[in-house]
Amino acid sequence: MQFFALVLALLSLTSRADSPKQAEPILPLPTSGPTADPAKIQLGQLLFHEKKLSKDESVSCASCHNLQRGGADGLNKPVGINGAVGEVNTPTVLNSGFNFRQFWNGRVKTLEAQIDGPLQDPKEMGSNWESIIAKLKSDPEYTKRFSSVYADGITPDNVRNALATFERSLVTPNSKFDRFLRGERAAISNLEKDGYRRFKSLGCVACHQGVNVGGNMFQTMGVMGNYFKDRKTPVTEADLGRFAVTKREHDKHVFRVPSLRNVELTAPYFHDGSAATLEDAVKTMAKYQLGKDISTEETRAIVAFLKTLTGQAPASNRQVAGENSK
Amino acid sequence: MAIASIFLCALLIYFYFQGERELAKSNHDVLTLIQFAKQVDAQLEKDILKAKDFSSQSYDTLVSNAGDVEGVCAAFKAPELSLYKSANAGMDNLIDRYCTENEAKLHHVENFKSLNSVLRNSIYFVHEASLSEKIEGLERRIIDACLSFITFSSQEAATKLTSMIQEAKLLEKKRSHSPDLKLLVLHAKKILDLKRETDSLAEQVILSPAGGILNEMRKQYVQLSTDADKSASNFRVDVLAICISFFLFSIHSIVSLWRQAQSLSEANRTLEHRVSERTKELEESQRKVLEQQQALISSSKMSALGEMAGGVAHEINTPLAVIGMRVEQMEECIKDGEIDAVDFLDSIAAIKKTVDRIAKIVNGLRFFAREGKRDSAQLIKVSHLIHETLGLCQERFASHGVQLMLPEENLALSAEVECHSIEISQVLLNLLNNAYDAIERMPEKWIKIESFEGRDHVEIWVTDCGHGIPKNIQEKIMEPFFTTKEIGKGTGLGLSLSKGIIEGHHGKLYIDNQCPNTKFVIWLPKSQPVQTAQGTAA
Repeated sequence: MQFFALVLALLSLTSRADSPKQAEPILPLPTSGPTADPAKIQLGQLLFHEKKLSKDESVSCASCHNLQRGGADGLNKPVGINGAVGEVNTPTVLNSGFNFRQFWNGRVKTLEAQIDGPLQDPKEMGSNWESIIAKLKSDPEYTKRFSSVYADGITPDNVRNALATFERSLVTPNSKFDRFLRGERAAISNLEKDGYRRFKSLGCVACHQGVNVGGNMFQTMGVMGNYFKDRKTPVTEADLGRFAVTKREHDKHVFRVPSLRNVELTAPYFHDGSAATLEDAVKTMAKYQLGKDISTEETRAIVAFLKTLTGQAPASNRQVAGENSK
Repeated sequence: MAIASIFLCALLIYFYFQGERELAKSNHDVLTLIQFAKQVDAQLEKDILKAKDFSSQSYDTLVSNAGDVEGVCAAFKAPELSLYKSANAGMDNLIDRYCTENEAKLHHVENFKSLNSVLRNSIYFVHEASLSEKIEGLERRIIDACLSFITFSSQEAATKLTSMIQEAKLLEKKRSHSPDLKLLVLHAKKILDLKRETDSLAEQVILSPAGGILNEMRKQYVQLSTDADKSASNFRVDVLAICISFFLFSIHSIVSLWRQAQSLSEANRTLEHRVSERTKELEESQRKVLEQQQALISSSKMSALGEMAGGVAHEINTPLAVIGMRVEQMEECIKDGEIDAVDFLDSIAAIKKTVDRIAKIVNGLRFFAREGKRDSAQLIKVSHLIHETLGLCQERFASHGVQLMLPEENLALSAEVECHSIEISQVLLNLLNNAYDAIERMPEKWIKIESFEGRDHVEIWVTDCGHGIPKNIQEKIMEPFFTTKEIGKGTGLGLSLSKGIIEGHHGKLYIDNQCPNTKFVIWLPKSQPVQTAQGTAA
């Protein structure tokens, strides 16, 4: 009856979330991470850096979700096995546990379910579970580690769970802005405060809100203008966004609103990686989502604010950083 | 043989309790889940209303509520619950319908969030623009039309706004169109399109039939589980009967073994010796009797409590259902927007009254459970004794169609008696329970309580509609372990202990043979002799 324990936990959570009036649309990240089994997190971390998960053993999850580069790859589009170029810009893995769906088009709900995507995509890791399980089983180190954490040893479900558990531990707390939200008024400068004010009054905050500053809803790319027409490059299937999942007309060009946490580290921006700098991204967003051409002044302030969203490196990654040279 | 039957007996008892626990647990689980589903529903409704009014700042709670809704559906479909739904295809069907409705609901929530955020920005834009003094002419008119549409969302406001947007488009064609106007028109169009769409999405979420399906589910499940409970309790009585027969059989075997051994050993001399020895032992332990009897009183009280627990659950359940119903009515009124202060006050008064009733029952229970021997005899009103005791059983009587009569002319309400009220209350409850058990199966059932005040004694009469106690067992019924009740129902100790208690108060407990019905009389002196104030069962 674990579910009922969960139900009770949920009940207490909802009642707690309700009681204090949240004056700000953005909420700070929790400072203590999820209390998962450290052995499971370590196993997940090992797998995250494991190149055997790809067909030709040339790339691992960390190849594109580089934890030293904000959990992304810094590329326009990711490069997979045999130099294949992927369809969409790599979203960051940091704080991804707070997103309500995974992938740009939000086609899965959990991190566990997300894993099959890149693993099997021929342009990313191009592998399959059969060969992954066989490879892992031939390694006594994995056999030992899995059996110490999971009763049934190495299975696709357990690989997914270990990876997802590690990913959920990749939280970046105590950003300057979070400290500001927690009452440390001097944590951000006047320019940054001005940026936050504009972020709210311009309307960016209508979508980029909540604990992850986004990541909790879908929105059309181009609410106030036709982004894809102005982009002048052919519309790809990936550009259709959520339409690929639902086939509903009104889901064309609809994407999951990305989180803006650590956004400073994850250039280039948008699903197509078309904005090279944060300034570009802010201007484009203002134009197509809010219908406004904003000044350099305004852009500068907002960018300054966005940079205060960069948090501390995840605790789990710091702890076991030395261990992943395998 | 004896050992084997004791073993079997233990095994059966184990299964008996195991079965009972399982049933209670799963009943609890399913109803908790349905209750939780209702809460989740309500929470989602509240949050979508808050988002619709722009009073919530982020969609996080809406997202976590949507997650809860999915969790509930998953739990309903979980294999642990299959036992209960497979018992009834209707239940299965309801769960499927509920999950389908919820899926639709969550889809609406997703659309709602996307559109609501755009609408929020456009409304914000128009509000900001309305503050600027520079704006006049068509732009000012569009702003005003937007504001009135946002506030009233009437058809008239919509038509006005539409025509102004047309007007602005004409200007655009003539190229006498400022960039500001273009942006304003863009936002006005968003407001026109999205206000109604988001309102209707929120409405669809709130009016989703999922809530109704849950109510239906609860109704069906309660029906289902009472049916199951009935057959299970029949089964349990069977099991208990088997247990006891095994137990008796094993005692029988032991006794016969003992007799055999006995016959092999020495004869009369030893026996005589034994008898005299036993008598001596008895005499020696006489001073312990008081203590033991107290313990028996207490244990019989506990067993009476156990019998009563079911009854009390019922006593409290009925008023709880009344409260639940009232609250649901009020909730519906609020949802329908039909808040009538008079009706509400009426409901609130009913709830208050019912809460008082529950409090009374709980008080009675505490009154009963207090350990009797610690306090000394106290003056207490007979009416108080009667009412405290009735609080523990009247609901059960009422729900089983037993009419409880308290004829006012025959109640010496002001009479006071010096006694250990808890013990007397226990005797009274015992008599009432006996009466109830005796007449349970009769077509017309009533129990009458009367009291009578003499010069220096009081009497409490408990009469039921039975036709008296046969003469040949009248003597025996006050003896320990005598019972006419079904196996498993009585301990056979109730009346003998009651008699002990009353005699401990220097009173009498007897059957009134003058009465055509079954009538027990508790006769108590008004005051206790000083020296026995401590020992009630001397």
